[in-house]
Amino acid sequence: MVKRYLGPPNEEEIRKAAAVSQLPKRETAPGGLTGANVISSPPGQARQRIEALARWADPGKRLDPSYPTGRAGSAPLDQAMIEAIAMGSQSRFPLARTEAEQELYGGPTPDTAMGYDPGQQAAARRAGLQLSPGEQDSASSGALIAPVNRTDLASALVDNTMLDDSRFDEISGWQRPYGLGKTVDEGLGFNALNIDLDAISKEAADALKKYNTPKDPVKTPEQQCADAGGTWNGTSCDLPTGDPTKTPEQICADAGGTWNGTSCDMPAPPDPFGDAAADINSAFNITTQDLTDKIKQLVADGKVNARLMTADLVQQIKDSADRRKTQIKSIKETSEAALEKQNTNRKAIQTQLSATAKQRMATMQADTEAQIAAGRLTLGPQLTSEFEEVAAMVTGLTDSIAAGHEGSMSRIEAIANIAAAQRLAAPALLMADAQSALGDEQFRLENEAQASLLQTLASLTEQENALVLQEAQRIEAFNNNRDLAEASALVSLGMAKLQNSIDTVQRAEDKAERLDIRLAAEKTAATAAAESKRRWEADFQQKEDTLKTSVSQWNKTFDFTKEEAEASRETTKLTAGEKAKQIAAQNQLLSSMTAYTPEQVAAMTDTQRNTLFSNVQNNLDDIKRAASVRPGTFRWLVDDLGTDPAIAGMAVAIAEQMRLMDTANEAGDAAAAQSAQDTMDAMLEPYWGLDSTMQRYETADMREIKSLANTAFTALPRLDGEANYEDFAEHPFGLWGISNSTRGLTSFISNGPPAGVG
Amino acid sequence: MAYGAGFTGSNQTTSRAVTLGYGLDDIQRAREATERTGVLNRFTSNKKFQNLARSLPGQFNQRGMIDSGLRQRARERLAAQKQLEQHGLAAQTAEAQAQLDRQRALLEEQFAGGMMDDTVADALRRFGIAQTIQGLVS
Repeated sequence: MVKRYLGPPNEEEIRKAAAVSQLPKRETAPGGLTGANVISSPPGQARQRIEALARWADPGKRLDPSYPTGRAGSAPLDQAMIEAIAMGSQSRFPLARTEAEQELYGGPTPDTAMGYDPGQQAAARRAGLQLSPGEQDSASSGALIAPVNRTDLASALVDNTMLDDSRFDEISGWQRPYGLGKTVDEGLGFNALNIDLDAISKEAADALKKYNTPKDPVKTPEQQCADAGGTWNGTSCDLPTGDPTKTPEQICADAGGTWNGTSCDMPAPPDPFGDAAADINSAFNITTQDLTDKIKQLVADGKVNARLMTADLVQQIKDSADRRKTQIKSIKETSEAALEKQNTNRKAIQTQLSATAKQRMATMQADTEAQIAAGRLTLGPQLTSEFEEVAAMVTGLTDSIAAGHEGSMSRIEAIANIAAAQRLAAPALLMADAQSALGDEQFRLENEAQASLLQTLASLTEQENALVLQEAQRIEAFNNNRDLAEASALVSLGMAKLQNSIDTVQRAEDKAERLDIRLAAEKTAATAAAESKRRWEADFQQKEDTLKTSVSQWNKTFDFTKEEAEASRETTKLTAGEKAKQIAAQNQLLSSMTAYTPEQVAAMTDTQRNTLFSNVQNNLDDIKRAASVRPGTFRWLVDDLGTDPAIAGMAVAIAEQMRLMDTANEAGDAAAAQSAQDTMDAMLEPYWGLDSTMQRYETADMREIKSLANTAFTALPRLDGEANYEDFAEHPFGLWGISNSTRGLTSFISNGPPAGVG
Repeated sequence: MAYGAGFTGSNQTTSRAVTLGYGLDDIQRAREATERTGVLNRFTSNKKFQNLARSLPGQFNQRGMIDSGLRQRARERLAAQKQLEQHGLAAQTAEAQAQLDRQRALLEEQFAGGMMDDTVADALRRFGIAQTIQGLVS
C-alpha cells in the first residue's frame, strides 16, 4: 500500500488548492460511464456504452462511416471496443490541473483519485491497490490522500493480473457482451464454451484496418511527418521509399511538404493566434470625444441668453414706466380741467354774492340819504343842528356798515381763492410725487433685473467650471479603463498562448500514452485469451472424460434398473418393503419441497400426504415464476449486507429486469431484451442527478443500486433454466433448492424414485 | 373710467348738493324773515314818529308857542330821533343780511371746496394706482 495520510492542509496548501481549483476540472464521461460499468454492463447495453466511452476517451477518433451504430448486438466488435475495454479505466485529465495537483498533493486530488473513480478503483483492485474502507471514507470526505502514482497505475493496467480469472469468468459467463465473437445472425455471443479467439483476432485486425487516425487541427512538423509515414530527422522529413508507384517528391507533396532534393520540408504549423496582439492594440486604439469646448459654448450661449432676457425685462420696465407717466400726465390734466371748471363756478357764485351784498349796501346808503333828504325837506330851514348832526352821524354809520360788509366779503372771497388755488395746484404736486414714486419703482425693478443677471452669470460660470472639471475627469477615467482593459486583454492573450502550448504538449503526451496502453492492453488481452483457452480446453477435456464415464455408468445402471423393474413388474407386485421404500422416497421428496421434515411427512395419513403432494404439483408453475430471483435475496441484501430496504428493493427489481434480459437474449428475443432494458432505464431514471448545467451524473444511490443489482444478479445464480440443471447437477436432487427439486419431482412423477434413493 | 373713479365722488356730490340746497333754503328763509321784521319795525317806527309829529303842534299850541322857535327845534329833534331809529333798524337789518351773506359764502365755499377736494382725492387715488409698474414678464 503506497497511500498515506498527510494530515490537515496548512495555509500554503489551502492557497495552492484554491489556485488549483480555478483550473479546468477533471472531465467525466457522459452518463457516468467508466471502464468498470462498461465491462459489467448488461448484454443489451454493453455495446452502446463501449462505443460511447471510446468516442469520449478520444474525441478525435473517426469511426468508419460504414460502421453501424445501432442498438446492441448489431455489429461485430471493432478496434474501438477492444480499446475501450482495455482503457476502460482511463479518463481525461487536463494536464495543467493534473500537474498542479501532482505538485501540491503528490498526485491527483480526491476528485481524481482512484478511490473516487469506479474505473480506476477497479483497476486498482485488480492490481492489489484497493483502498481500505477507512481510506475510501477519507478520500470521499476530501482529506488529502496521496494515491498511487500514475506509473504504478500504468504498471497495474499492463500487468497480466489486471484481467484475472474471476473477472474473465464474469465476462465469459452469464455476462456475455452480445455479439462478441459472433455475427448478429449467429445469435449468442461467446462464453467459456464457445469463445473463438481466432475470430476475435481476425475481427480486431479488420477493425484496425478500418480505423482512421484522427487529424489534429494543428500539427507539428514531426507529427505531420509521422502521419505521412516518414521519419523526422530534426530538420526535415525522411519519407520511406517503399511505395514504387510514387516518387519521394510525390509523397512529400501528398503530405503537404516541399521536396528539397534530399528530404521533405514540412510547412511550419500556422500560428493559431496570428496577429491577435496587433488586433488587440488596434481594437483599443480608441479615444473619447472631448466635450469641453461644447460645454464652454453652451455656457456662453446661456450667458448671452441671460443678458438678452434681462435687456428685454429692462425694456419692459421702461415701457411700463413710460405708459404710467402718460397716464399720470393724463390724470393731472383731467383733474386740473375739472378743478378749473369747479373753481370758475365757485368764483362766479362768490362774485355774484359779493355784488349782491355790495348792491344791498348801496341801497341802504341811498335809502339813508333819501330819508335824510326827506327829513330836511320836511323840516325846511333848520334852526339848529340837531337834525344835521344826526344826519351826518347816520350817514357815516351807514357808510361804515357798507364798507365793512364789502370788506368782509372781499376777505371771504380772497380766502376762498387761496384755498381754491391750493386745490388747483394739487394735481401738479401729486403728479410730481407719483412720477417720483414711479421712477423709484422703475429703478428698483431695473436693479433687481441687473442683480438677477449678475447672479445668473455667476451661477453659469460656476457650472461651467464644474462641468469642465467633470469632463476632464471623465476623459481621464475613460483612458484609464481603456488602458486597463487593453492590458488585461494582452495578459489574457499571453495566458491563452501559454495554455495552448501546454495543451499541445499534453495532446502529444496523451496520445503517446494511450497508444502505449492500448498496445499493452492488446497484448494483455491476447495473453489472457490464450491462457483462458488453454484452461478451458483442459477443463473441457476433463469434463468430457467425466461425462463420458458418467454416461457409461448411468447407462449401465439404467439398463440394470430397467431390467430389474421390468422383471419385477412382470413377475410380482411391489412387496411391502419395496412399497415402504417408495413411500420413504416420496416422503423425502415432499420434505425437500416443503417445510415439513421427512418424519412429519411420514406421520401424515395417506390422504394428507396425497393432498400435500397434489398441492406441490399444482404449485410448480407458481414456484418457477417466483424463483426468477432467488427467494431470500432481499433479506440477504438488507440483513447480511446492511443495505437500506428501499435501495435493496430497487436493486432486486433491477436484478429481475437483468434476469429477464438475460433470458430474452438466450432465447434470441431482441425485442424482449430491449423492453427489459427500457424498463430498467425507466426504473433508474429518478436516480439520475442533474448538475448546475443540467448535465446528468450518476448519484451515489444510483451507483449503489446498480452495484447491488449486479451483486444480486451475479451472486445468486438463476435456477429456472434448463442449462442450469446441467451446470449444477452434482446431486440427483440438486443442491440448490427448488429448481433441482422441481426437476426431481418431475422425474419422480414420470419415472419413480431414481436409483439409489430410499 | 377705470377703477370706478367718480362713484364715491358722485355720492359725495349728492350729499354736498343736498347740504347746499338745505343751506340756501335756510338762508333765504332767514333773509325773508329779516326783511319782514325790518318792514314791520320801520312801519312801527314810522307810525310812532307820525303820532309824535301830530302831537307836537298841539303841545306847543297849548303853551302858546306854536309859532316860536322852540317848536321848530322840537321838530328837528324829533326828525333826528326818527333818523336815528331808522338807521338803527336799517343797520340791524343790514347786519342780519350781512351775516346771511357770510353764511351763504361759507356754504358756497364748503360746496365748491368739497367738490374740488373730491376731484383732488380722486386724482390722488388714480395717481396711487399709476405710480406702480405692473404686468411685467420676468
